[in-house]
Formats: sequence, structure tokens, C-alpha cells
Amino acid sequence: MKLSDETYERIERYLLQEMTTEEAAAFEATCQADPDLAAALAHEKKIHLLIRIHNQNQIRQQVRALDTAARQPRIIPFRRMALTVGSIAAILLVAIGYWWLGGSAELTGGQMAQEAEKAFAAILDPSLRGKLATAEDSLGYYLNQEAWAEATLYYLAMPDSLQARAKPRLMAAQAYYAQSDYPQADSLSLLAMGAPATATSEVPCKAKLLRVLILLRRDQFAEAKALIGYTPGEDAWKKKWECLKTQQFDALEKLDKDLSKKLP
Amino acid sequence: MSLPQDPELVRMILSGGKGLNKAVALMHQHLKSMVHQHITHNSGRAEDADDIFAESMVALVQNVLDGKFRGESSIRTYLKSIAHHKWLNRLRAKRPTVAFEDHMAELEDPAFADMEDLPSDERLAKLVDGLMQQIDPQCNKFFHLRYWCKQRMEQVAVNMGFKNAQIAKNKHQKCLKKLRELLDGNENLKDILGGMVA
Repeated sequence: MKLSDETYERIERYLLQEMTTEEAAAFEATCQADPDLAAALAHEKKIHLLIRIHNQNQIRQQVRALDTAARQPRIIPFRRMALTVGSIAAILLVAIGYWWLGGSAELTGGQMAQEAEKAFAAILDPSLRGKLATAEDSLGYYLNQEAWAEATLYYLAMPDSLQARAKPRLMAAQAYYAQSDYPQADSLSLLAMGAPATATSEVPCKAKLLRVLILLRRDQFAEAKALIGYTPGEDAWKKKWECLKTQQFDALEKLDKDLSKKLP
Repeated sequence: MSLPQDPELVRMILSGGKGLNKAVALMHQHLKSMVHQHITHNSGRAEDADDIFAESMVALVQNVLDGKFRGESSIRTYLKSIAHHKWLNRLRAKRPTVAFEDHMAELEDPAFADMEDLPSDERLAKLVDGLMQQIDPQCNKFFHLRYWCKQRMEQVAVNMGFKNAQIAKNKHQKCLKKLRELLDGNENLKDILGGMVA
């Protein structure tokens, strides 16, 4: 059965109720007399239903994504990130330390991550959102608003170097993390971790902490332990924990370097 | 951002695309707690409330697009009525006699009793979405604006940046051809849809 585009247009107008009452009645009469047209109408009804179901699914998915996002912690401006990430780190590392010290062997990675998330949500300050000062603040603001196009523009406006994009990458990683997009958050935090440790040595350390959190959320417990630098039989990680807890990022970096020299 | 007035919300829904997404996000932000409270105060769990809210949003948007929402009540009341009936139907499916704790007489609109309830089962959703994913995103936008939001081709052409309606129409026909081919190649889905339109 091969029908013309004009016939399909008539069917479309009928199904979308764009015909007048008289036109619709005439169309129905033609359908009764023409089995090909009737079959095409039945087929087009399926097409319309298919599109209807698909679009309804899209709304369902959007609402569910909004539910998930509402339950997730929100990102915060970068100026407060030191406090935020430092606090998360402290809580996280207390939990990790407690577990490693054998205080609660039954604590799972998922439970630890949940605790860290709760703490993360509790220390966010929504009143700080939207106060623009620098391009980085603007990027943070747009990420916060989930205005991805604007955020991308600000991101691309920054010099394309590992150093210059380290902070934006960390912010974007945090935004993805808030959206539960852990693969994206992971790859961006990994890039931010790789930034040269000069004046912004805080960034790689914070990115590392975020990665620990991401790994825990993905139940990659062994990787999280490895990332934090846990070495059985040594207590160097305890010093690192102290540095993180007190936000002595430069000292932490030095410890990291010393530890890496010891590796075979 | 505060919840816009009802006429503006309706305009956003009818505009489709980003406008519709924004309207859904704003209604989620401002009206979710109302539905949540209603369901959880009437023996529902938080998951039930999430589910009922999602289904009510789908119904609300669909009714606005179908011209069934005429503004006789506010969107807020309308959404609550839909949620109320959906929850009542679900409870009645489990227990034939159900009494609500709070007085909801104003929501007992018989118009909702036989409300269209397209199945939201995951198998069908997967089949449909799997097929639609094989379609060019531009075609999907065509279908979204023309068939779901019921926009005239002239308006679709403007919204999609085509020079005129004829160019948009030609493109639309190509997209439809592709979709017909895909559906013809999927007997399973064709049968399910056939059963639903019959």
C-alpha cells in the first residue's frame, strides 16, 4: 500500500483534530469506503500513540531525575569549597580511620558513603548561591542553576591548560556528582587531580577527596582506600588524615610526594 | 524562581521543548510537597508519593496539551485532584472500600474518574524509547512539537529555525517515513500499540 504525502497529511490533520466537523465527517466516510485509507489511519494512530507514550516517558523521567536531584546535595560556590570539602574529608576520614582501626569492621563502603553524603548535605549553605564576582564564581553559579550551556561558555572562556582549568574541572566534577553522574564526575575530578601543584595545590587535593567520595558511592571501596594512600603496617595515612582534617593541603602534598618516593 | 501564574504555566507547557521542561521543573519545585503531603497523610509511603506525583504530572501536561484543562480551577487544585484520584484508584485496587483521612470533597470531580491512564509499565517504555532512540534528534523534536504539543507546521518551522513551513513539512515527512519503517520492523511493539488503539 503506497499512499501519497497529501493523504498522510489529511490523516495527520484528522488525528490532530485540525479538520472542521464537515471535513472530519467526509474523511470518515471516505475511510469506510477505502480499506487502504482505513488501514493507513489505523497505522498512523499507532505512530501518534508511540510518540505520545515516548513524550510521556520523557516527563516521567524528568520528574524522577528532579526527585533524585532534590535528594542529592547541591553544589556550592568555590570560595566555600575548602570548608566544605575539608569538612567532608574530616568526616569521611574519621569514618575510614575508624573502620581501618578495626573499630567497626562491619561498616560497608556504601554505609560510609551515605554518612559522608548526609554530612555533605548538612553543611551546604544555599544563601551563598548566585553571588557573582569572578568568572569562576559565574561558572559555579551557572552549574548551580543547572544552566549547562552558560556554564560551558564560562568553562571554555578559561585558558586551555591543566593549571587554569583545574578549578573549573573540580567545580564541574562537583556538579556532576550532585547530579549522580559519577562517571563524568570521576573523569573530571581525575583531570583536576592531575593539575600541577603550584599556587593552587589545594585543587588536586580537593579533587582527590571528591574522587574518594565518588569511588565510595560507586562501591569501589578498595580503590578509595588505595587513593587515600592507605598502606598496611604503616601509619603515614594517619598523618595525612590529620593534614586533611586541619586543611593543611601543602603539608598533605608533601606527605604524598614522600610516600610516592617510597613506592617500589 | 517563583511559580508563574497559571496562564504563563500553560503557555510554557504548550510551547514544548525547554519551556515545557522549565514548567515541569517549577511545578516539581513548588507543588511536589503538596502532593507528597496528601499521599503520605492518606496511608501512602514516600515512594508512593513520588510515583503518584510523576504520574499526575504526566496527566496534567497531557491534559493541557489536549485542551482538557480549561482553567476552571487553578493548576494547583487541578494537580491535587489528579493525584487524589490516582491514589484513590490505586488504593481501591487493593481495598474496595477506602476512606480518606482529610476531607477532600472539593477534589471529588467526576471528570477525573475515567481519566485516561496510559500504562507506564517499564517494558513498554523500554520498547518505545528504544525505538525512538533510533530516530534523529531533530525528527524527535518535530514529533514532539507537531504531534505531542499539537503545534501548526508554521509554528514548528519557526521554533525549529526553518525558513518556511514547506521546508519543515518536507523534513517532517522524511522523519515520519523513517519512523513508519522502524515501527513496521518491530512486530512486537506494533502488536502492543495495535491492541491499545483498537
